[in-house]
Amino acid sequence: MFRWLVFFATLPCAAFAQIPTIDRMESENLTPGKSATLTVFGKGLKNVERLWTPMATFAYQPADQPNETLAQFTGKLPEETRPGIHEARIVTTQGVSERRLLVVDELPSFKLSDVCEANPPTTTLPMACCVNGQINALKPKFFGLDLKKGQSVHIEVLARRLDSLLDPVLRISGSDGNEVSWVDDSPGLTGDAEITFMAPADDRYTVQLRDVQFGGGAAHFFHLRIGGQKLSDAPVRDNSLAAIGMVSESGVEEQEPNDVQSQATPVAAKASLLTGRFDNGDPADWYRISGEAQQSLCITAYTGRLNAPTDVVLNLLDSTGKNLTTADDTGSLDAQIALTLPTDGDYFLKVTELSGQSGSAWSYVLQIDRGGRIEAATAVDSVAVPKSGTASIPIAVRQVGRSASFEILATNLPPGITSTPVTVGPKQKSAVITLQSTSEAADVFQHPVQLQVRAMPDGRSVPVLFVPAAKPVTDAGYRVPRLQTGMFVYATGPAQYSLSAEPMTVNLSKGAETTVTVTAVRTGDWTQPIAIASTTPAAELPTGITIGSATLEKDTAQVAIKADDSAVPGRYSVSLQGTLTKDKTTIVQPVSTITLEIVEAVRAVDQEAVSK
Amino acid sequence: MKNVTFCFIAVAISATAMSVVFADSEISALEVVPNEFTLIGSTASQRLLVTANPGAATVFDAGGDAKLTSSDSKIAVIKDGIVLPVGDGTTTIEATLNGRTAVAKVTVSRFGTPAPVMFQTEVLAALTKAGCNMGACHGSPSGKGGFRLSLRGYDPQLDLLTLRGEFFNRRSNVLSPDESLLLRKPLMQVAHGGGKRLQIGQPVWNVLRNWIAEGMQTAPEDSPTLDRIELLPRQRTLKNQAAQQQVIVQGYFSDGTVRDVTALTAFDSSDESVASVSATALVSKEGRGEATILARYLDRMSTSKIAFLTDRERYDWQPPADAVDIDQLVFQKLHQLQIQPSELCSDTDFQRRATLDLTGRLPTLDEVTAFAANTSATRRSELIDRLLQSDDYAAFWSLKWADLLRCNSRRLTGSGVHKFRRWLFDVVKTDKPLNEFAQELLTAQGSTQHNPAANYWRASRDEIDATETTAQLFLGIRIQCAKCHNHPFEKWTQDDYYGIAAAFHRVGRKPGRLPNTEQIYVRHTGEVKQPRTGETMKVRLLLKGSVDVPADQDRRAVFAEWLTADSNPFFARSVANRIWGHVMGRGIVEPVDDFRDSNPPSNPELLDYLAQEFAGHDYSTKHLLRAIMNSRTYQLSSQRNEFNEDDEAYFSHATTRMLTAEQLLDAICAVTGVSETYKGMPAGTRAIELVDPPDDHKFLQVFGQPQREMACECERSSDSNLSQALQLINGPVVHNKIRAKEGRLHGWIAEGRTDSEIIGLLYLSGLSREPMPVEIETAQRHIAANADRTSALEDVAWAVINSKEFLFQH
Repeated sequence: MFRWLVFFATLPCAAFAQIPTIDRMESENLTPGKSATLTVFGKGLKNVERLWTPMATFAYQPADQPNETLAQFTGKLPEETRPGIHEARIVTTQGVSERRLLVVDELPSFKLSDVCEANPPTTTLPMACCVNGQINALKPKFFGLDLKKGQSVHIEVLARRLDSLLDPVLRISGSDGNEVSWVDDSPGLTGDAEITFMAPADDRYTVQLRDVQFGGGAAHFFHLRIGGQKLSDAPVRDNSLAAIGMVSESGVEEQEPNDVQSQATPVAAKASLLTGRFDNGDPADWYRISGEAQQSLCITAYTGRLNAPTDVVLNLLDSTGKNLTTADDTGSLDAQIALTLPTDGDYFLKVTELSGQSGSAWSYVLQIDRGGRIEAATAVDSVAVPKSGTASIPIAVRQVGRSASFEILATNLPPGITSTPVTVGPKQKSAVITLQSTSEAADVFQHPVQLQVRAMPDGRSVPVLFVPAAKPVTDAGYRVPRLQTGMFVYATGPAQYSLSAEPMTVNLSKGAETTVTVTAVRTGDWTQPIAIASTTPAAELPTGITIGSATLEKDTAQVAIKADDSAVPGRYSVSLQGTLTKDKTTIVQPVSTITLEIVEAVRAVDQEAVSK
Repeated sequence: MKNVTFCFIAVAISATAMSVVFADSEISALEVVPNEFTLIGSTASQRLLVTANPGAATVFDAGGDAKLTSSDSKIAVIKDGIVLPVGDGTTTIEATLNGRTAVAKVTVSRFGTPAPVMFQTEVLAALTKAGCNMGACHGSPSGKGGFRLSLRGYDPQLDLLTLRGEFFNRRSNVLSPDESLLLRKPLMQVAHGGGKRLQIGQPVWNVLRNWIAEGMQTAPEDSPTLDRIELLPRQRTLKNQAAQQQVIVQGYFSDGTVRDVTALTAFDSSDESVASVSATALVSKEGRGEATILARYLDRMSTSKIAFLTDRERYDWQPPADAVDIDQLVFQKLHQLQIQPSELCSDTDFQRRATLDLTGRLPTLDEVTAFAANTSATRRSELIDRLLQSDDYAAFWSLKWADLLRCNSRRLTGSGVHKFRRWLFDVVKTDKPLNEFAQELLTAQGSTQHNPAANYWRASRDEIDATETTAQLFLGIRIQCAKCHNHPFEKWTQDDYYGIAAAFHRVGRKPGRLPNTEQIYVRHTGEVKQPRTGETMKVRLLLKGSVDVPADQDRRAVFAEWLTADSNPFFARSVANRIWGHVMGRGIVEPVDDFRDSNPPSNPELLDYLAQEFAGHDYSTKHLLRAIMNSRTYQLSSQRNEFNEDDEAYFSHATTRMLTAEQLLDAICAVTGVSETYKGMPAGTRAIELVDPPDDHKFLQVFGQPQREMACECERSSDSNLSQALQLINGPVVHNKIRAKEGRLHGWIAEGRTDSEIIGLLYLSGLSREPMPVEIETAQRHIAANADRTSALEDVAWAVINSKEFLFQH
């Protein structure tokens, strides 16, 4: 599914606006209850308005000289802000940057006065501080640290967890140059490093921080912490859990010992969430799940997507010990098993780590779906909505253990932005949510939006997963795609053209045909023909329904919608889009979602009866 | 016809009988081997070993001089030193020389029973002895000249088919055996690309001819098979005029019979400069020293260690002082061989040698000065301890492991090569017990990102590679040959090979979550089949046999547990030998990763001691290095004396050897003060610290830096070549570094140092010693004669760098 997401991420969302990008951020005193200064290095930092975070907004401090690659912000964090990793976006009049991560730290900032690339080091760090910076290629950082014999200090570097390309290595050496401690990847820190170091003697120690491959550059930034306790990544982890809809779910935690079948942890019938961990030497975790004959059971593991190193293997056994199904990896994702249960009774889920790894970081989360599962995901991080126009959000969908229609809808929309829920048919593997700017929409807005999946018969809701597209792997490194809780919408000027349809709701009898009128509003000299077509491939359309195509030579065109006798009565969505090509430029714009109601054909004799 | 066969054998062997006469030797005792034997059938024969003064220092082979007589010529007769049967019964053979006698009892049975030539035990052996089925001839996969035999007869069925039926049986003529191409070609009666391989009347010719004449029969299915062979004498030390030794090979068969198979056995010598061995099993002295004779009959082998010693004039053994256990074992051997060890090396030599051996670098100027000022009696051991604790030691010795474990970015992509090299650094620095190290590598699982040891399975992509790599690394065995056929010079079979492969077959690999990483895991299905037999192989532990491993267990763990057990006969010996070889310049078994019966240790007692010391101290590399380097043996001078000038194997002097590519480049950088730049590595990185051999560094390549494609020490070339000379004499590396304005030499000139000061600094930094007066004088004379002082001083620096003393470890 992620491959599909990458494809969609390449579709044009906003035309020609220079979206701001962030290379890295440096913070000073980004501490709960304190006034902080944030310096953003990036591109397109023109007409900057503010820095958005979930905790507070940081005001832009205009520079004396316009600088499109650097912007400074100040603001105060609420006292109750949790130290840890948080999201941030820079907002300009042109748009909103991608989500980036920053660290709220209880340790005071230490501002470096030199590049710290000389060994022996020229800078000595105080015992409790944090340092922001970037590693330059082939140039490790060196920091001095004065310690007494037996003194213990916790040193932690955040880089990978902040989407930095830096794969950090920490090395501590004594004044004789010999190494006394070293750490590369600490389990559970996505490649970051932490170490608690006890000084073997009074000495001036050197802390070396470098990339494991000696890489460097603007994208190799870090947040180094000397002293204090290990920084929690709870806010981001909470967000990841929220992203997969687990925050409010009823859950079960494994009860050790559950290493063998007879010790299986019971799972309540309504529980939809299991959390467990392979403690040291833990060979397997067992769970007992009750089920009913012909019930669809789907169990989905979340480990890598939650940044745990665990690679789980799932086995489902019946009460006699017979293995019913096994799963390691499902596509590029963690393990997932899905089956229709053969009989009423207890089933046993055996969870193992593929290569026998264990430890505090080797945790997992399992989601249990009884009666089928809907998965929907998008790679869109932010979307521009043109003034009085439309914007589309492509979504990949997949149903496991079920085959029915469901809805996707956008929530928490800003005033003046509307969106019609999209009904997704059983055969569809993709869907498009369309946002429409009305006359009430503000000229400027930046707003976080959530997308929800609603299973229509049972009313259940799950979030659409936001998984930013993976960046290509280069010699310099890579970024690991992470789950996030939502996306941003923001306003842009009028699009080259915008499309609307009339009527927005179409009632159609089986065996009948109708048309909708698509109207284009063009700006400037974008007068070329516009090809109108369904965004849903013909094979994924509901049975018996066909959507025609049309070309807008001028400003309107008719698109035919037909339901043959095999069409199933119900509500559907029709998503159309227009494509205009001028010279070498192609502009794609969505049409607002059209709701299609298919009803049984009304026979003539019935018509007469009704009229009488 | 049968009698013709053994007569020919007897004649052929007698033609090689010894002619050395020991008429003047005093003989205290005489021994005959075997002293009791049975001759079964009319074609049987038995050569006797007659030894004078067995067990004494003056032992010699008396086979050529002793008179042999049979007490009953109706039962057995003696023909050219060989006992031949005449009729059923029992009698005795008496050997007499200089009034001493020894007696052997012989029983003849089934004399009248037909005994046709056996294809499996005689014809195949004859083809091997004649060299027909060796790899370079008809034993190559495609054969030669349209005639293909299985390599060394490992596939008798195929050979039988080929010999009897291929090309309408054109190779043999049963009615007229002498017209057979199988005989005429190797006799060169018709053109033969392989030259003359047979002579009429030879045992091999006899066997082949008689087999054809008898109708090319195969032996009945219940015929006895060969269990083992024994080469006799197993060990012999011959002194002074004793320059030859007959050896015999006894074959032990499944029916309990023992037969003399010497005539059809192939022989090799481990050191032709010490001993040669004829086709008739006569070992002759070629020089002073020890050699191992390897006998091969069918797929079995046996060895004998033969030493030829000559008393040296003026040799007067002086037990060296301060000998530790290692020294006792080395000196005992030296004394036995009448080799006098060299004197202790100087302190300056020791410091340079120890620093290079442990850290790969030259001592710094400060270190040279400090060591020279240290008058402590324990200064050498203090230096060893200090070096062992340094990061430089970890960097240099992890380089050695990185070479062998194929730590290169082509195999371990992305950050893998960095993480694996760093893990190796940690292993060395923390002195991880090497049994644990081997266990961790062999049983590694998980992400190569989180568990760098798992990169072992990234470098070894399949069970074939893993088998060969693991055997060579940790068993010291080059088992590659056994992939296609039973090992020609060792006891290892295809079953052994594929039995080890079975231990590694279930390693699963899949892409890791992070780019350029892999997840290593254990699969619970999958089997290895022996390609020749089609048999599904169980995990096989060498010398122990096959073992059953439950399906849910990691087979690798069973292998690793066996490998690293204290009782394992290979692991500690091979690793200890490797470590010894690294610091002594030569292994006790050399090459260090080629243990086999035909390549025995030069000092087995020493190797056993080192292995015990290693295993007994938690498989600690540092402990073993400390023990070796604190020994007098390690600290001997490289200057030889008249009694050890030809010793290359017994450690009577330090072995001089050229610095390795990385050592040499780092040394040039250190002397000149100009570091080398490597792509992707920070400034100041030394060659020994490189995580990956650069593929574009001419200097390192010319001096033999391995590209880490093989798990073999041999990948690091130690050969000298013209390119090396050119690099040193006028190559850009040496030239540019000496002339660099930011270099040390120009710095010293800028500081206003005198000529003699600079000359002294160059000698101290490059050779770790002060220059001698004549050296100062020569250098100063050169400077004075040159109008450009800077250029003249650069010449002096060049001369130091190009001196053998600089280029060599000594």
